[in-house]
Amino acid sequence: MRGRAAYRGAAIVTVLAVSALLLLALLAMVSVCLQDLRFGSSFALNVQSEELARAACCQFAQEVEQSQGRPIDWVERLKQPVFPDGASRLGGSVRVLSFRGASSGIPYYSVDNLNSELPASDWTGSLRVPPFTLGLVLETTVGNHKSYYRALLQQRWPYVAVSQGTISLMGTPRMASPGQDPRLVVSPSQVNGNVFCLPYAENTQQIPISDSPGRPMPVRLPDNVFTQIISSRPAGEDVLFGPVDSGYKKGAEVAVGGEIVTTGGIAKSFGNQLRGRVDFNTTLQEDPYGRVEVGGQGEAPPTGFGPNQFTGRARNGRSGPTLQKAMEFPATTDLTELVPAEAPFQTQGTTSVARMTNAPANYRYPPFTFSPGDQKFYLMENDWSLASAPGTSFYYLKGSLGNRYAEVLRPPGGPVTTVEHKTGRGLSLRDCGLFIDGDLELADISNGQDSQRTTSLGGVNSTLIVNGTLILTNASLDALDQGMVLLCRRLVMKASGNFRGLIVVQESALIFPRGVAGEDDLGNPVAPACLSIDGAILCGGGPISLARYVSDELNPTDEQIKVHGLNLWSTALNYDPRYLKSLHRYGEMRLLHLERLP
Amino acid sequence: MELVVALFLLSLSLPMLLNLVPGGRMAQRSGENLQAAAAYAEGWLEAARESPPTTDGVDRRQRVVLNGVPYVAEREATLVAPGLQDVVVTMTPAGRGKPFRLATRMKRNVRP
Repeated sequence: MRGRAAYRGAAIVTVLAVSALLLLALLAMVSVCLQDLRFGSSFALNVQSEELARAACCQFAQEVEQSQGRPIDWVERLKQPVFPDGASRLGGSVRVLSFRGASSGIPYYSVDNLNSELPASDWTGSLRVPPFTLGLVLETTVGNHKSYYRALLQQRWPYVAVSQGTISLMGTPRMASPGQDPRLVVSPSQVNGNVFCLPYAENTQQIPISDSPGRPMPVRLPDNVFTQIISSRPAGEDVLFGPVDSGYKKGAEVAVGGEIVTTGGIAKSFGNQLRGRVDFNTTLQEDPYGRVEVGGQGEAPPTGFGPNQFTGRARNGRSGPTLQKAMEFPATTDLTELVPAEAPFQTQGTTSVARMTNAPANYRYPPFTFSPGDQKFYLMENDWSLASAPGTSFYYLKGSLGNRYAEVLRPPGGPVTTVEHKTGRGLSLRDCGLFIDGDLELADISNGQDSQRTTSLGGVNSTLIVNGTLILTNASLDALDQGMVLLCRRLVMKASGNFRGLIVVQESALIFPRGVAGEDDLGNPVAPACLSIDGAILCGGGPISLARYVSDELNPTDEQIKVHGLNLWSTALNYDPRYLKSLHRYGEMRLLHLERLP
Repeated sequence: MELVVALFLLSLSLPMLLNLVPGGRMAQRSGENLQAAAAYAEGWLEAARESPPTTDGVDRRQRVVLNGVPYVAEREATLVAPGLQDVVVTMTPAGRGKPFRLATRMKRNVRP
């Protein structure tokens, strides 16, 4: 009896145990299945949340684009709804956490580092917000699901060089001794950064040779400078710094190396490098819209030189309205509008300026300037060193300025001769601006022999505006870490040095190295002193013409050089956003990084 | 008697327990389907970012089978501000399943 009862009890226990085991196994399986469901749902919610965060970033980027360079007050903007239209299609909402530090138990906050050239720290204490960047924390809500995202939106001017017309990179031909190859081209140019090239403006093809008021005159250069430039120019049908292929004048072109006319014949420039993207404009229905011409492809470069290289890609149609606005700036801005109303030295006479320069009263307006009218020319007999003073940060000069003046003498019955007055004095600016309502020509008369004088034009945290032509002949140009902004109508430079800053030229620019490439007495090669620019160059692209300065009577048969676009000879141009603060607001805002926060 | 009770209990609980199997499996399938649909829709939005739609309306529609489930995938763009559009990808499963919707905002390039 006892045995049967025990057997019956054991059956129930066994059944219950089996049931319990089965239940446990099934619950485990169900738990795994439910976890799969939760994982799937969570994945879908995360994808939806991330797309919402991306939508918010795109909304901000588009607002920047539409602002056309007007600054946006982000503190005020972020108080408004992220999507002004309600964004009912997006299936969720987004909120941006404030810039004012963590609150409401949320450890995150946004960081505004748009106007700083240094990285900033966020709530982690690490420098995780790059320069010129908004570090936003976005709270997304999809249904009841809240997520936090860290988004880095950077707004920077993206280009190292912009030109309405050809951008060309060349080396400088060497002046060789007998027995040497006269066609060796040394000191190639390098551009590191993205480039924007627009087609030529249709209405600026012809340069009249006339000195009648209101019509542009060629830029007159000293004989030796003109000779060197004209004997080193891109080979083309015409005496033209511009498209290598004359059949391509309406498009936009970037030329990296190529054929050069030298005194010894046609030479080829190798070793030039363009490291960056090339953008062309879409507004003209050109086909092709533009091209990058890399010279000497498939040919073996001379010993010591690499091939010409373009390491990037060319594309079309990336210029939004803000960028277009910035493109218009060099060509359309009236430079006189940039002078602050309180600028001193608003002299019609010579009083204050003459005291500084000892300018002779009888010097008259030199013929190499463009601006018609009875303007003064001031010869710099002393160095100019301008700095900000209490209440004064911008200076204004009515007239042209220089350290070289070519005086034309016309003795009765005798030949017309030109007498050059050279002082070799320099101009330096510190923490201030100078507006020259005329031309500026600076030349180093020591040819680098005078160790005490190394800088013809220098600037620290300063702005120089030349409402005419800026000519540097065998001069040095230096701007230190705090940078300099140069604005002028035309730029012809035969210069060396380290320039850090921004150069804006309304028409075209020609940058040549200082000195001559050749050989010393022992036969060792001597490279010209080159210019290195960290920052960017913007070029409006209107053509300018260069002529030899022989007298103030312009001989129509005298050979001229037409310069169109941005022409770099033996120049290193490197993109550096630190010196482009005034341009960053025209740049596109792009999403650098997006991550989900725990 | 106890054996009968035990068998009775087992016969009651076993179907209930075994019923968890298809339920769990359905939940698992549902999660996998949602994940597949979300990943597919995300791919379409990525493609749209590379080459944004240029006009309003449905610009892409396709029948796809994901994880054994047939879907109709549809991408629709709506201009919401100058140069800005909402792009919505809807994954509608055949049958009674709930459609999955993924939306974002992106630029619209307007060629001259």
